[in-house]
Amino acid sequence: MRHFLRRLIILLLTLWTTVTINFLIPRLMPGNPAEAMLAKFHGKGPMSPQALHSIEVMLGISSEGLLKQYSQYWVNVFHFNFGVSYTYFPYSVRHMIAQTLPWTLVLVGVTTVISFVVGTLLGILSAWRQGKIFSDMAITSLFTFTSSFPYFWFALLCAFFLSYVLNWFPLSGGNAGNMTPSLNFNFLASAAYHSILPALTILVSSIGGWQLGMRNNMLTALSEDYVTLAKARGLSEMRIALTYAARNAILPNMTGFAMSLGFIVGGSVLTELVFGYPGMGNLLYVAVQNEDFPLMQGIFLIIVICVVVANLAADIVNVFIDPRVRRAGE
Amino acid sequence: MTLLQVEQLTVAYGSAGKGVKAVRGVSFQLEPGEFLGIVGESGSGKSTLGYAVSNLLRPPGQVVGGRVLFDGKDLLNLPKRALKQLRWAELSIVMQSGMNALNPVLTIKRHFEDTILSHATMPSRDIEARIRELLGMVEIDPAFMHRFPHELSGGMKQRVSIALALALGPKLIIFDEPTTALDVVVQRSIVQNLKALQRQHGFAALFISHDLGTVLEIANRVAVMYAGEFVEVQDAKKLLQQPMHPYTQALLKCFPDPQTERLEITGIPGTPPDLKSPSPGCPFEPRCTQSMPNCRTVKPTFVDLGGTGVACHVAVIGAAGGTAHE
Amino acid sequence: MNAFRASLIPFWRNRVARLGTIILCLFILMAIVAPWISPYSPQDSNFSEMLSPTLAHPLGTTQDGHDVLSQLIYGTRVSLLVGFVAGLGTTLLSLLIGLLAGYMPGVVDEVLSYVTNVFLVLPALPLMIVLAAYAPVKGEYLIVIVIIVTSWSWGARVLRAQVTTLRTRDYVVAARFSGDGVMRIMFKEIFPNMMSLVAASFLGAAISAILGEAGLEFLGLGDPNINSWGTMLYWAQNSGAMLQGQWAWLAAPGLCIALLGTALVLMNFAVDELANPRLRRN
Repeated sequence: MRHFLRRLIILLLTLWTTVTINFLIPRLMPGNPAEAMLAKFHGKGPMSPQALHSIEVMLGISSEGLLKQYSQYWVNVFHFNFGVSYTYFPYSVRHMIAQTLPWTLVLVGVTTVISFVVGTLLGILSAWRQGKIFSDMAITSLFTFTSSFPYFWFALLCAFFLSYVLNWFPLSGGNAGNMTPSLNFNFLASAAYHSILPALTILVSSIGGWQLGMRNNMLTALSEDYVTLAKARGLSEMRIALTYAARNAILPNMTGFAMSLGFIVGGSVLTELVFGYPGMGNLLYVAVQNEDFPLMQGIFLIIVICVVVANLAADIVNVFIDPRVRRAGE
Repeated sequence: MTLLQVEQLTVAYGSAGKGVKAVRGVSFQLEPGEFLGIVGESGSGKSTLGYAVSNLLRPPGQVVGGRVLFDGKDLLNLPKRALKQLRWAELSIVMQSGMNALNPVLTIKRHFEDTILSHATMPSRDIEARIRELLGMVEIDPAFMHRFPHELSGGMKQRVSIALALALGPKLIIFDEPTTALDVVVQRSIVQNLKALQRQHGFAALFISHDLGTVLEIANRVAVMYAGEFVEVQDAKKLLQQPMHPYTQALLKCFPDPQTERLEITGIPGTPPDLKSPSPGCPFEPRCTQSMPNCRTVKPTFVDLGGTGVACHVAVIGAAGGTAHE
Repeated sequence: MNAFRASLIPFWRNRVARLGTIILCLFILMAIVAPWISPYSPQDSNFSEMLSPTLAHPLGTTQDGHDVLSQLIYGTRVSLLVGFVAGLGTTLLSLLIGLLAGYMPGVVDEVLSYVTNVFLVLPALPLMIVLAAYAPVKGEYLIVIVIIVTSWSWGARVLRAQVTTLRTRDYVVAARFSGDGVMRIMFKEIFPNMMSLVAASFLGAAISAILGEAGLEFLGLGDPNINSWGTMLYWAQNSGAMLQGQWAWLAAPGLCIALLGTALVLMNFAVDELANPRLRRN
């Protein structure tokens, strides 16, 4: 329990630090980007005084003292009130994020889970059959190569060959035309179809990491004494491989998995960009392109919150799967 | 019938040919119910011998010569299935204390269940009763079966390992330094426990240790190992009274003799030889206080003197002349 | 110098790592001899625009009429340099923080470990993007700095752990009792014993620096007028290379990045073996 509390404190401090950094960056940057931003807003059209105020608070254009600004900033963070997006004026940042977040969560979430499961299984296989031509050498070499791909480049190639040349998949977008997101079959089918290619490229570029990591852990576990003794006890190969070696080898990977769930929102910027996928990554790109600081602030905070929550989940998961952690604090 | 017959067993580490030979042509026999101790310094190849006999060597270690007959079966060339069936049911192992012999994510109970169910089907109620019985035999509260390995002390883990080795009533148990990392009090109590269990269940044992005192206390017969070879095999009592090999004599001086008042402890000067470049003569010659000229050039062979034996020019001459070292 | 040479031997002895070393050397060679092997100057824009691969232009030409192959060969220089400098900077920062935190338990360690943990949790790419976006001046220096700031934490944690265990070793304790200064102990006693770990974190940092550089440049956060593999991809993407069927322009720079990354991963196998003998095979 003490270990857990310590982790919780670290994560809360992380959250605090990030919010503070986020608060400070626009205030510390030379050339006062915020003023320029506000000037641009005035060209966009009329804005309500509250919206104006929250932008001022976010970006630090204010005659008020820094402490007052800081406390107001926190109030806004708690209300997810990041002001108005410059790019998508007059929509609020919150509105834009709410519209975009589900796309990324579904696409990257599902692929992250698949990638972890398949990569881990392959890692177990290739460690158990270490040195075999296909199940170890071929798989491991292939993944060594794919894991050092620039993944957006692989996405570009896929888009080029599978969409442009072969016309198997749509080149970009999240669904056909201007369908309204809803739970009917046509929309879901179209969304699924559009997500195949982005999902494939994320899978190919991320699966290698899990496979290589698991293979290493598994090789280490296989050389443990309890595996030798399990062999001496005449246990079946299956049981030794899974319950004795893999069950221990997966512990460090589980933490990595929970953490990678935290990177779902921010981890696929380039892939989303290549495929014009209507997710958070693309939104961040648009925000950066247009120097839309309110939107950038909002997105970055969401990303960090996801990471912190995922880390917390990782710690909780660890307590359940590793008996040594479970009893250590009691 | 002889239970275990080891013939000219040679084990090398590294690729065949240029590897280091850790065990060099070791031969011995073990009768049912017999308790053979194997003593040697670290690096003498005694643990490697234990792994080789149980066919558990891991690369880069491999058997490059000789054979192991267990109950008449060629253990090193047994088909996978047959080997799996034989393991633990007839031949079990207790690993060095301080090693990770138990799977950290499984309870003690699961270890027993895994072992028992791999060899027989048994209703869970019977299994639990059997685990209670086994834990009782090694003086552990059966309630500990629901604990995880890290919740047990080193001594308790080692007792659990012994109970695990007894689970299927094997004919032979190999103990590889079972008490080394434990403190002396725990060590003694485990050795006493083991002695009683052996009398009760009648299993044969190979007891590998660097601690001659413990081995003499527990074993019927003792083999002294040096530089990958047996240099002396003797009845435990005779070894204590009439050690033949100068190395054995030196080892005996390394610990206080409980029978006498003498408390003179001396180490053995020098270090074990480099196994990569063996000398043509006796490997112990550089450290030997009784060496003769031909010790440096001619390697002494192991001479069987009827149940006992020694590999030493000096001792063989002594035995032939009827003047054994007293 | 001897320790340096000794630390290079494993990269040659391990067969997999040797392959990586050879690939890396080929890229370095390519960067050095670029003026001699490149068919044209990378700045020469007197060719027809958007040509598909031909004999005269094996990889085609760009939207401004540059020769893609020449750009690719010259691009090796910037990509290698940025990867190397950013990787080195990251490693040095990790090493500094790891050594300090590991060797000075108490307040220093607590503070540094806390900062490390925070940066460990922060997602690198979005942080890179946000930092680069706010910066008033874009360019390769900015990319190097952003990469260093966002990726030192992992190495620092690993190195700190190593220092913490080394600190209590007998020979270090002995050196301390014989009155050696902190700096002397760190660099004479501790540092030599973590060479393989430092090498591993350098290789890891270089890999992520090369990929990070490519990503940032692809997003247009670098200087688009500098000729590197990342900016080549940026221009290819933004001038519609895909819709013009110019696959070679798209494929070649990424393939080079992937090969370079793979080379470093392969070299890391040698380090893995040093650090974890259990992975060693006969």
